[in-house]
Amino acid sequence: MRVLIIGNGAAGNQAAACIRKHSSECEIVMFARESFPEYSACALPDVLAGWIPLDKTFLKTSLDYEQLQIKTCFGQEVNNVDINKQCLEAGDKKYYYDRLIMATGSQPIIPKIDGSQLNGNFVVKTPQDIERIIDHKPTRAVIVGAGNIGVETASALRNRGCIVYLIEMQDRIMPLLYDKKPADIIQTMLEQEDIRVFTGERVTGVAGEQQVERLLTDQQEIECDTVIWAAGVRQNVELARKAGLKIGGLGGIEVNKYMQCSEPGVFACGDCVQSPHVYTGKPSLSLLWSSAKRQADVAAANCMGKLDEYEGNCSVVIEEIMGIPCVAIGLNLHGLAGYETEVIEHESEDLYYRLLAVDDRVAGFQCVGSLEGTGSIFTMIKKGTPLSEARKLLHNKGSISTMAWYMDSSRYIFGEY
Amino acid sequence: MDKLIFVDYQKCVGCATCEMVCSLVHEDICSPALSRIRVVRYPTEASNVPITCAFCESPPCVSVCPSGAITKNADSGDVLINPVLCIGCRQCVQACPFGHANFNFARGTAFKCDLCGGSPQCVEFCWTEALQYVPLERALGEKREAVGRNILQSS
Amino acid sequence: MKRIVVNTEACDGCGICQLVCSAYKAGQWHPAFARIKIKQLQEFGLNVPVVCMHCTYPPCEIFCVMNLIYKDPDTAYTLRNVERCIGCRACEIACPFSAAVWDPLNEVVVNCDLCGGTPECVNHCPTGALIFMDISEAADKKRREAAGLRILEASRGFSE
Ligand SMILES: Cc1cc2nc3c(=O)[nH]c(=O)nc-3n(C[C@H](O)[C@H](O)[C@H](O)COP(=O)(O)OP(=O)(O)OC[C@H]3O[C@@H](n4cnc5c(N)ncnc54)[C@H](O)[C@@H]3O)c2cc1C
Ligand code: SF4
Ligand code: SF4
Ligand code: SF4
Ligand code: SF4
Repeated sequence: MRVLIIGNGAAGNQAAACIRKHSSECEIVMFARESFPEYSACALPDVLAGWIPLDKTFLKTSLDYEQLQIKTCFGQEVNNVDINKQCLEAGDKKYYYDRLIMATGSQPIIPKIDGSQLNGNFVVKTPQDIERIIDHKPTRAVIVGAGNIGVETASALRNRGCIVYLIEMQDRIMPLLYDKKPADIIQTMLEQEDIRVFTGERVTGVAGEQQVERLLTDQQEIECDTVIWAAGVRQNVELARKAGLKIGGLGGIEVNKYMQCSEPGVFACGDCVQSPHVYTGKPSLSLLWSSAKRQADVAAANCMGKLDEYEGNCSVVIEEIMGIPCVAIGLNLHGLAGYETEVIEHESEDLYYRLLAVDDRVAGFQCVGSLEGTGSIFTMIKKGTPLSEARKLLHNKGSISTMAWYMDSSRYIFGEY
Repeated sequence: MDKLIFVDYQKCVGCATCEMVCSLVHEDICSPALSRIRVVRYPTEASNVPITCAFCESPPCVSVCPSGAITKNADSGDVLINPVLCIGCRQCVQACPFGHANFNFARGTAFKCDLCGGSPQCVEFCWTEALQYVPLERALGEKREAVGRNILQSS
Repeated sequence: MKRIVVNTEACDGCGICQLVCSAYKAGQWHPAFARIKIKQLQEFGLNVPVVCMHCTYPPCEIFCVMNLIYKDPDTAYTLRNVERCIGCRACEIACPFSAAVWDPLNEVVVNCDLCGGTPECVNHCPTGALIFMDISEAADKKRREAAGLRILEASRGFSE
């Protein structure tokens, strides 16, 4: 059997490794635009901050691919997939497949506005991006978009000694992860680090001769030499669309719970797909390393004729700001719009948390100041444990002695510290 | 849950037929260690007790499983493990009060009685009738009848 | 396949396992550096040792953004190439049992490696709350026997 994998990211590599686990004979060929081995995008902000060297972000060497018997066609864009003939075109060659795995990932968006092509505009996605930013020697940087990548990049540049501005269009930072109150707490923490945060502002353009000199928003002009775009990503689905695969309403490739696309023999996983949310069951984009890997496991297993099911997306995002851990799990009030949500909240000097419950089930959790017990909350969200059941178990010595993991969540689900 | 595996341990001779059949049906091998139903022997008491899943109303194994792999079907009452979701942490093995939920190291997942999808093979092959798959009311009815006859005879 | 089996009822919360682990694994003498943690439930008088279960399909492995957690092919232990850890703490949240623990000294996350097959915490546990045993012999077998005995005794009481 011959499996072709498009993509050398988290999803592509996990799929390859998983196929190897199931079969030592299966032929695996991997395609990627870039010509370097797998790296972890999640470590890039740490490199930018200077905490770790750049080469540490690479997870594989070319030797590792050889050892796993993965044939690599790196630096080759796949131009076309012919699903009827079961073949794809890369360069001027054709490759036939028995199974195809699309792990084409996503790309940061640079909006087409005035000045966004000037020297000094950057994104954070590949190790080269980081090298380019460092070579540029930024001193005053504006980060557009305060999602988790924006916030991490802002802290990283601040750590390099830059003057850093963070611009967010919505009324709070990390609007898809946190509700207003915890977002404000985190914003205060960022401001204590001397990052200048502006929310509710829309970027209208970048000004400068050849270089970025100023960033224009609907409310002010900021003098700067660097603009970093972290205002969202676009799924790489052009190839899938051209091939005739169904693309969903959120812009991701449509897959079923076996990670199978709308055409037989084709699987997809990673940032490029949309899959049901573990809580709502509605289509969602996950855009996380862990989901990419889990989806790739499922795709690879089913591709080899083994049964595996994807349980659904559930986001977990951790940020450490000035050594204080902040975590958002599952949905926030924005994501739960339309549901009747109960909020269990606690605030003290060094800990803030809120637990969102719908119909007796935990749907989301946000916490600033501690990671203790969050694993247990995450487990409850994934599993859909009713709060009432957890409370009952926690009141019963017999059950708690064998169900230790519930214990950790007690202070959160009783709303007491 | 209208029917259940009813164990009359006084009839059990400890022959292990049920264990052989169970492991053969589920794992393609005759190995008591991989059988869902297990016969515990108490030689000093001359007794054998086959232990199988009790299909508890609020099963500890379901509560404790962190991946949601074990579920209790509200309609049929069955308690089933979905091996695809099992992460192999063995919490259910530690939680089951009867030592029924068990772990297969070769597969890396937990297993328990699944009633063979509705026709339990252990019952089918138990030649002493120590195992019966009957509605609760009927099993109890038979027991009651035996007790009643005892009372009648002694009076 | 041997694993640590915990008998919660026997643990008296002395914390020796934590100190032993911190000494062997981190060269320290402080519970903060231990891979095994004792959780105390004062209202029940219960002490629960929590340690890595060495899951077959470990959630921590899926969550690691540096792909450094792996299952040892021979022993099926969950191990880490900890020198590559960037301390993002994703695996800590992924672990349902809070058994992936933060090492404040090196700013990385670690888990129990069963001391390569001779768990020191088990060797030093004075109460026998920690047992290193074959899983197929473990808790389920003991509980099965106890359950059978319960049935026998109850029914004997009835017929006599
Ligand atoms: C700065 C940053 C920080 C992040 N931090 C975190 C974090 O802390 N936690 C977390 O969970 N996630 C984080 N993420 C997200 C995470 O990195 C992604 O979800 C993950 O990398 C997705 O992997 P993927 O394999 O789906 O896609 P990608 O990594 O995008 O890989 C796509 C691959 O497809 C190839 N490709 C695409 N189209 C073609 C074509 N036509 N022909 C040939 N090859 C093609 C590309 O070359 C590439 O190799 C972060 C991302 C960034 C950018
Ligand atoms: S496996 Fe054990 S705990 Fe679970 S339902 Fe059966 S008897 Fe009850
Ligand atoms: S650290 Fe947690 S998730 Fe990872 S193997 Fe151990 S118990 Fe399982
Ligand atoms: S086995 Fe070793 S590493 Fe694991 S908890 Fe015990 S002492 Fe620590
Ligand atoms: S050494 Fe044994 S008794 Fe003491 S705390 Fe650890 S597990 Fe409990």
